[in-house]
Amino acid sequence: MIKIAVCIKQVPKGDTKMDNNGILIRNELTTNPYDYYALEFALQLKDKYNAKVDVFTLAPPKSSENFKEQFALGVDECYHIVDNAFKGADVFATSYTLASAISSTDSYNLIICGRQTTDGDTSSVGASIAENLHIPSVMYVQAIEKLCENTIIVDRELTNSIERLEVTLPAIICVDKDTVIPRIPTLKNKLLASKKCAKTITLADLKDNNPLHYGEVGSKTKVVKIYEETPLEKGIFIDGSTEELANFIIKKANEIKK
Amino acid sequence: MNIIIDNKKCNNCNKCIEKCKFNAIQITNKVIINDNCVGCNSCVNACKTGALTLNDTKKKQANYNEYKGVLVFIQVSENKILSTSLQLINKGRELANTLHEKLFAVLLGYPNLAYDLDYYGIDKIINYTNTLFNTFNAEAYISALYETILTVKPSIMLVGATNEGRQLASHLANKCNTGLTADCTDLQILDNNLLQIRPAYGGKIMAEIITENTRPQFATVKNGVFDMPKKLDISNTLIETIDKVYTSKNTKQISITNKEKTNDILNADIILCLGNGVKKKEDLSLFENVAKKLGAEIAGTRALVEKGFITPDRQIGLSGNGVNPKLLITFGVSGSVQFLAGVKSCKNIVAINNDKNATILKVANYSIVHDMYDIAYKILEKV
Repeated sequence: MIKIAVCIKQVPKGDTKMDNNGILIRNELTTNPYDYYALEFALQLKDKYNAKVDVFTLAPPKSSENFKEQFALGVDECYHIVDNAFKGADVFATSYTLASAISSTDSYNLIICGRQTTDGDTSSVGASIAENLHIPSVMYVQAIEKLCENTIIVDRELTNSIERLEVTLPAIICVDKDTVIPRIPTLKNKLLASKKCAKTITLADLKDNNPLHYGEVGSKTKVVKIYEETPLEKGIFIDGSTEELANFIIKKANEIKK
Repeated sequence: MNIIIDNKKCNNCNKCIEKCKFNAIQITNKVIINDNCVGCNSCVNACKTGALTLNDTKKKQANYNEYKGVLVFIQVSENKILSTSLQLINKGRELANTLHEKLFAVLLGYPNLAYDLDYYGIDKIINYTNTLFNTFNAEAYISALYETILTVKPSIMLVGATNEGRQLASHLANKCNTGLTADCTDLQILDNNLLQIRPAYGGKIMAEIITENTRPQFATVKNGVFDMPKKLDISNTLIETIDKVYTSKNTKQISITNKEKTNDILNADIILCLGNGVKKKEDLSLFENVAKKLGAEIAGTRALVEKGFITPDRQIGLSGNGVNPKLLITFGVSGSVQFLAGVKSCKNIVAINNDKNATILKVANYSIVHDMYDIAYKILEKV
């Protein structure tokens, strides 16, 4: 049976702002919008090839609500990777945690990630998991052409071209948004989902259970300062009637065109 | 959480609470740091009594001191060196000068282009001359670049944040067991570390990040963040050629199709950028006509892409394109941190917004508080 793992992140809803006292306002967590595309790619493969689809999410305890939605879409298992030891992880430690959890759970033929997140948008987790598991990765995948026993054929986007690649499995693909249309859960699946629960994976469940490899301690980068950017005042205000303003803009454009 | 709390040393000055932007600290009869803590360590830096200290079990990697200099990956597309790579040569030279170290560049394939990199102040160009490298292949590139890193041992590696660059940087950083910050909007040197600066958490918040104990320090940067370099009068650039070739074991190219060039906003002299001030999709034709009359390419903010008003290839911003046209005119753009990251080097911005407090009006060269539709109609009347 083909087994697919999908990595999903819980991100703050909307833009994070600071209040009047300079405190970051914590928004509630929601599924990273880009990851719905990863999930849809996986579920389409499930429909076509009768694959098993498991979701892996590294998240704090309070995000367990989002798993119900994933079950309702047709996911087989949800793994909630959670432990104090995992907190404060940067990309390096997060990727290691996900790779560790995935390889400690089962042998997957294919791992699918979304292109980036709305809170970090580094786009590096997929490639880093691939390095950890010593498998190939393909980023910016636009379409899956074919899934075979030992290979997958995908279309991926480069700076100036679209490339069709055949990649040996197991592999990781990072899929782009606006590539497929994410499905909506059916009422039947929502009812079935209400009975399902995510399984937790803690540090003790991992093959490598050394806390020094995870979380803040296992990270390679460190945030040394956070501040609200106040842009420098610059330039001049142009006043005038609509006509005068339009003339100003036309003049500026003509200066360049000359 | 990596903070050691010594309650005996706490004098209740509350400076830690003042500095904490995450509401993570409470002091009752003792100091408690709760689950909101993200590990930014602002509290530790603020604490003058030693009540809060870092539990720093991290040691520097074994050969840390051998890593010196800045290495820039030169990306080529359609037989031309990407502007992004040249911008990183410019910034790389500046960083190397601050460190009193050397600047290196690595070019895979395209031996005909190595001399185009002369007179930019690069100390050494490493060129893998085999033209098999002219075709992008992630696995082969990663092998060659990893070998280069082990030979050159740079303290800093800079890669343009293109689709290819991001894949390469992510793999290489992980292979080197080191840190990577993507889409940096500025880079500086602080205490021998590369200060990697970029927006975080969405919104207006900026973060400064360092890779403290490992080398190389990786950063990817988008097009247009840094300026293009100027050629120097003299050159001491060495070119080292390597004949080796790497092939891919796991990935095979079946076909390649060039993308249709639907727009050229990256090379446009004048760009007209639309923001949330555009009320409905039908209004686009008005602004497209204005753009045509002014000789401008149309672009838009992320919000407009998400509404489906413009296509993603026309997006300007941190997650879109970085641009540096000779003239940028914005209509109804508010000027979020993410948008401004895409226009960092622009020196000629005319911004129109009917909200006098819009951020963009503070950073534009010419700011106009007016209804963007009125101005648009008037321009069409006149031209």
